[in-house]
Amino acid sequence: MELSASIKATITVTFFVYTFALIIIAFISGRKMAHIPVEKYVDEFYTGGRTMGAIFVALITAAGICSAGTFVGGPGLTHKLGLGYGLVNLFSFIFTTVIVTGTIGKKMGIIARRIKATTYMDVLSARYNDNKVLLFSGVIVILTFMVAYCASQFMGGARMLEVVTGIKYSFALALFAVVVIAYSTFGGIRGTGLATILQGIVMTVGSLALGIGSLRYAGGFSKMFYAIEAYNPTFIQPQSFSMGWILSLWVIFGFVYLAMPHGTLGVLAFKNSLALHRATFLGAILVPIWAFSMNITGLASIALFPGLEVADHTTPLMAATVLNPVLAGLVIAGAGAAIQSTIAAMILAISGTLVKNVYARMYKKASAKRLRTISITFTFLTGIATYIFALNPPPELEWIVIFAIGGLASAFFWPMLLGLYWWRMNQWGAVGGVIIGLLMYIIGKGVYPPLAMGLDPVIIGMVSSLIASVVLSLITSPTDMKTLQIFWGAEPVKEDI
Amino acid sequence: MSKLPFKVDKRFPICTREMLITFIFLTAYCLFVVFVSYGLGGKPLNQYTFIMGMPSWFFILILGMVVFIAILGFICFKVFANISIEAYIDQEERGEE
Repeated sequence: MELSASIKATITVTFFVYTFALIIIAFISGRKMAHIPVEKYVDEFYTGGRTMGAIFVALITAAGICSAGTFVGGPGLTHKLGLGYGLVNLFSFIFTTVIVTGTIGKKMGIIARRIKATTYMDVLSARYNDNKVLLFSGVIVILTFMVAYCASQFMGGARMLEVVTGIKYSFALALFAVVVIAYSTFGGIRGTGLATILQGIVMTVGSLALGIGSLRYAGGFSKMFYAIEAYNPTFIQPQSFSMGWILSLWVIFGFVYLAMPHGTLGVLAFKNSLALHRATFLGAILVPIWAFSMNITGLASIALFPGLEVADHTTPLMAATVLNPVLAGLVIAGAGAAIQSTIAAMILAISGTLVKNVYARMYKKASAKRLRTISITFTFLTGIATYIFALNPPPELEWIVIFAIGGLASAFFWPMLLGLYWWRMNQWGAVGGVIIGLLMYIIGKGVYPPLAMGLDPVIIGMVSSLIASVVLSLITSPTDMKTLQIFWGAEPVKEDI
Repeated sequence: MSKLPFKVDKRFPICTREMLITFIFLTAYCLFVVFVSYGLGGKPLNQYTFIMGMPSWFFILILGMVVFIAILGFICFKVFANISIEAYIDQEERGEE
């Protein structure tokens, strides 16, 4: 499948104009950040001063979570596996922001204000007595899986550039990386937040145009369904995948996002409960629009050009085929936008963990100014590390997304959820939950797959993490009252307790 | 939570309740999609009635999605409580509740 030179040129120009606009936004918000007093810099960099309204929270959560998986990997895998997989991707995914904002949002908001948390690990550390083993294993988990996750995003972005501009993958990757690293390094969450609103609009308009365009190009729903059936009858049967496997994918896409450090940036930063409720609902409007359009695109691509060698080329090829080139350029820029905002959120989550939870703790006397330099440096280095990881992509990046979410969920889901809602949970339960969940996940994923019993290993990982958390908490003594009072009490801890 | 020796913030039981509601909602939706797709879907296309160009089972899924979004709207704006999320709420406010 080759695109004509003039189409490529138009798409490329549109893409670069848009991307250039984003870099400018990053610099503007970076300059704004420069006026912020040094002492407040780190807080501001990671949470934007906790004044975010509904649109900000919804978009930063939704755009943080929906990304290369939603816009490139998902349609790609639907292209390769058919509607049976597309069903999960389409339906399980639509309430993905609700998981974060609806389950832990409010409590996180209150707790984050009590302990002045700026990262996910801050909350875990405060709840679990600064347990060193937990901190260490948590950082390892975040680094391993977040960097992999983040790399999959880079791959998605580069795949699109590769198709539409015709440049080589490695060069496309470098271009893409420069933009993202620039705006997350200079702007922090404010920078990504500002860009996120623009991105959200482009993503919504773009994916809608692509979905509708694909459907029209394929000749409408019924023609598309028949064409898919003609290509491969099992492609329209949900039963072509075992219900167990589909349900475990459902867990990955539909239940565990509260365990994703980058997905929770929004709930650390929202303004009030009304904003949170609105964000919850708004997320449940936006995400279905994106997920539905992109999956229709994936399905239509089976009818139009079945059996692509690199399935991840589905989205850019469809955009270039069914849309007017300028619109296609915008759509691809929009998908690129989604990916960039996710990477930005991820890089912030990773560097936030390193700076606040590791560096600031190891060097207690580090000055605010020093922390500021370190924040920027770590954000930059994280970006570079991820870039290197993304140099050798598989044909379907979605598998990496699934791998990364599975790992994060196995380790963090229960320690986070139980920590917030079950007072008896203690540090040893959390340590056990993270380590055992992680070990079982890795064993099921690679070392000894039969352990997973035909399901995705995330299930065995999460079940053993839950058991370990509960059992270890119950056989050790409860968390001290001071900590419990922070997480449950009506009044601040008095020093004499 | 009765075993905790200090006064529990009234807002936290509300948070717990809303967390449970959210999980029940998500589970109900998951069961709906899996039952419809595995129960009704899977036959060759010509054995289905087509509604708006979609085989009936797929159309039911789309319809269900819309219904669930509406339910979520109700939950967000009618069921979820508007509470302060300040670190600590002051005495008078707690008295009113």
